[in-house]
Amino acid sequence: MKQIGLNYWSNSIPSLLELPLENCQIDNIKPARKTNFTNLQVVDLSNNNLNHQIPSWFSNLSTTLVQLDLSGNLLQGEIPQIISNLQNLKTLDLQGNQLSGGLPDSFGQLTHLEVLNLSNNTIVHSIPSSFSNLSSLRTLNHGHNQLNGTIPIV
Amino acid sequence: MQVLNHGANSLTGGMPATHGSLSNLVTLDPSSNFLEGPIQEKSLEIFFELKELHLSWLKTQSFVKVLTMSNSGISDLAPCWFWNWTLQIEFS
Repeated sequence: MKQIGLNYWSNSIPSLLELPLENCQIDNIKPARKTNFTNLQVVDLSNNNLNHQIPSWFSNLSTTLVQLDLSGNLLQGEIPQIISNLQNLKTLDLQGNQLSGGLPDSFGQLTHLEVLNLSNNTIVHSIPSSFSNLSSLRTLNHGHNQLNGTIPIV
Repeated sequence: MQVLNHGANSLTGGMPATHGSLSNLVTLDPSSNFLEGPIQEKSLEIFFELKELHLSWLKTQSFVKVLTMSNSGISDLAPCWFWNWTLQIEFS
């Protein structure tokens, strides 16, 4: 079992810009209710073994976050509504997990989002009409899921 | 918009126009869905179980590099320009 704690990083280097933790065989992230990151822009936890839900406290990681990459893990459950707190996100990559449930309406609040990759999960229901608010999108990939209904203007 | 991948879901209806320009579109994959309806200029509609194919809008999309229409159920004659146009793309 390999667990990391972000509090350590946030307390010792609060001005950290990037957390590149891809391919580190991490199973678990220690909950951190509040972090002290002041400039954190990139969190890359891709290709690890994360096998829990997307923690709702991720929404408090840092208001400066522009890129969150959780692709290639074993993440389960629904994408939390509260992820929309990350107001400055430009890239959200959740591809290649085991995410289920529907897409949160709140995605529509991520108006700076340029790249949204949700492919290869088991996401169901329709694409929320709030996706029409994502006017900065350059890449929208929700292929290989179980989405139904009609496609909103994106 | 550069990448639009709706592929391999159970989406229905048509594919509406996008907010942004499609002139930079690199990848379009609406394959393996239940999309249907007419193909219109400036909208991205390549449909599952399509009965008529009107692809003239693609002629101006010179930056398209990948076009996936597998399992689309399309059956008709493609216009002559289409085969010249496809020389620039990876067709799957």
